[in-house]
Amino acid sequence: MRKIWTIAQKELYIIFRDRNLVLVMMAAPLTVATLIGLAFGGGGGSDISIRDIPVAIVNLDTGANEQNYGAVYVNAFLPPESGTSAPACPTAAATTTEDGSSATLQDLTNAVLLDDAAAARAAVDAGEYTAAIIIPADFSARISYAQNKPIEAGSVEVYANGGHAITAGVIRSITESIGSQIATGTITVAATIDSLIERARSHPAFGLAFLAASQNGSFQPDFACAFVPNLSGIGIEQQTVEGRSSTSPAALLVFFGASQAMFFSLFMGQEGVNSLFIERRQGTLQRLIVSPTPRLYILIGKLGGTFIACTLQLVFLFIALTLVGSILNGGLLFIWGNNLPMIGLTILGAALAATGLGTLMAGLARTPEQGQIISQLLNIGLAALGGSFGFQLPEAASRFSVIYWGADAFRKLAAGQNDITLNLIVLFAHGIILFTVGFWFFNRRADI
Amino acid sequence: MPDVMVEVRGLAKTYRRADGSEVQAVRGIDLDIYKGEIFSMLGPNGAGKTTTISMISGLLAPTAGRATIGGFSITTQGMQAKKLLGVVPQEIALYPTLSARQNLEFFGRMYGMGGRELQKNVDEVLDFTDLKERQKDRVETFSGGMKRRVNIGVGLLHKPQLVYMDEPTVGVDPQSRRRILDTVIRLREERQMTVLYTTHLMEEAQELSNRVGIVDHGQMIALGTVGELIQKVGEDDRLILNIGEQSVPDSVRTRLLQEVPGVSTIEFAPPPPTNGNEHPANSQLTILAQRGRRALPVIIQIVNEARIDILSVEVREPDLEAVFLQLTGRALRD
Repeated sequence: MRKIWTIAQKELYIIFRDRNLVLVMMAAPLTVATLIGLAFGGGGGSDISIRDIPVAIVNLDTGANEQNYGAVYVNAFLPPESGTSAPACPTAAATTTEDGSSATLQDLTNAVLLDDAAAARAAVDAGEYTAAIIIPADFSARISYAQNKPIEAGSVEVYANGGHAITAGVIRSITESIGSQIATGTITVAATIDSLIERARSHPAFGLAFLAASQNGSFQPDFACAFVPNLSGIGIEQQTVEGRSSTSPAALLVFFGASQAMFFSLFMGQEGVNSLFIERRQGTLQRLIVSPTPRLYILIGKLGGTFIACTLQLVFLFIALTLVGSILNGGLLFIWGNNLPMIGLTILGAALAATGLGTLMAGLARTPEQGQIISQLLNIGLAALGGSFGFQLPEAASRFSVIYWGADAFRKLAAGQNDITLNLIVLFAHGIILFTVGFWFFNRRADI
Repeated sequence: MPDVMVEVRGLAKTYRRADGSEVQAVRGIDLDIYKGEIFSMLGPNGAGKTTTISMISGLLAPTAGRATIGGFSITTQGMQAKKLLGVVPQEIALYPTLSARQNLEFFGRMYGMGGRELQKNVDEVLDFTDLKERQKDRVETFSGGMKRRVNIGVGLLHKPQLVYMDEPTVGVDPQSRRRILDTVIRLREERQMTVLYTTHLMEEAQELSNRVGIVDHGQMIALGTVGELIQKVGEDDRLILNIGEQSVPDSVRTRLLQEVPGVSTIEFAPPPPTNGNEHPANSQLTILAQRGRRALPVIIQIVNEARIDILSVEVREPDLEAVFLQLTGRALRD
């Protein structure tokens, strides 16, 4: 093991001592992603208008105490006639956006009410919807107020498509805002009722009058409007939501940073494995082979060094993009979300996939020059498929690219989704299979 | 009978071509290299010399036969055998962006060294190769001779019992070459190391080697000390007499053959034709004789009696070059 680590250490030392290589592998993806973020994210004056985001809403909420809080979500996204039990509340003006234009939530989204959560998720996976908002059956029961029953935490699932990180982020923000509003309304109602009961207890005259009013029907409070977002001072701020989503350079950093990181990690993987050829040419590989070091150790050490280099590259990009994103955002913004264990797993999977691809190229090529040409063409092809060049091909095509799987995982994590199991399986399987095949080819060709 | 360091029996290597045909690069070589000797392996390009040594050092797997280093089989006990072997390849097999010390430390770790032992050995090698002052500089900034010395140092770092040096003086200036040859001699004299040396410079092999093996067409065609090899091929001394523009009558040739003991052949080379402006070249009378120096006075007397003026005399004793030429039919550099 010590020899493997010594070889890996030497690899890392040589890689990171090469200033040009470091510049290309670290600074280039960071610069490209930042420039695109600034150019298309508002800093450059361009504005990407986001409208009619396709959203599926599945309200499974069965209600509680004659209230269905799930309907608040439905009413927020859908015109009143499409929703259910819309409260008769005073109308509110549409919120004004940053640039002065008026927009409502219905303008921003193109929502559809569905009954089946599984069907909604499948439609999101198929790219039919950007996201599905799924309200569980016990949502109202958990968050509603009743005497001697504490308010419990309720959750709404936002199932988003990682290929639409920006718009999925918009939907997630809106959903969170509505959730905050409902929580505020629930607390308000609870506080109001508790206050009335307390006053009735301490002032018998008020208690009797309150009881009489309740019995004769003159006291009929309707708290439904407390949950309508655009009546509240802390309701859904569409201006903020749209502003962040459409013009934030940080949001574009997520999108392009993920794909650029994956793209350049492939080059790092290739560069590292290519050093096998270079060592063979300069005679140091032969020198290693005639030392009392098993051949397998030599290859594992060299490829392990490459794997670590790819991992460090992605970690560096995560940190650097987070710093840039935070500066652009005006506050701390973890570029790929803050689920660090999952980010770590994705980085390891991506590094393994890049090393595996590099090993395969090294196995197929006869010379380092041939290996570089083949891998550059392949990497560019994978980048085009995976969306690294700013345009998105149909998802069915993108799935052939390892860049898609890595970038998609990072975007999902950025959107707060943790369901990246399939991405991880693809990345790790990709790495292991290509590494094995490439190793076999290389071993055969190199006669070592 | 001296102790055997390297034992090779029936070693063979066959390659398969793309068209399915087979090439026998090495055809069953037998060889013993004794402890503490410098053994030179000579052979023209493509003779199978590199393939043989690659199999002995574990770089290539043999198709047939076996090789042992210090009693350990290179194929079945490779790790133990390789610990006894230090390799100095012909090309500079170093990491150019690492310093001399970093290169030595890295390869030292590959031989299982670490800690104080590694640092001590690295310091010793830097002293031995006279590179202490430049130890922290990148190898890529070194001169060719200095790179060669680091290259040799890496092969000696773990104090091997057997050092294989593949043409270590290729492309170096005369001063560095002398230094390398002295280093090889010191390895034998001071460290009692066994050295397996390949070169295409006959004078190097002749100066350094205890024994020489000549490989051609994948076979060991001659093996022994330089003297033994010369005796084996029976090469005579060559006496070359420059006689200006004169010719040699047949009577002189007959007398030389009949009256001088050991003379076997007489060749006369008339001066080559000139275009008139050039100074005419000398005619040469070449006489092949055993113990040529002893025969020389009688030869000079016979030639003088024929009134032929001798302008100069050159005595060429048989050397490894002549042996090689006779055995392989070509010069080593061909």
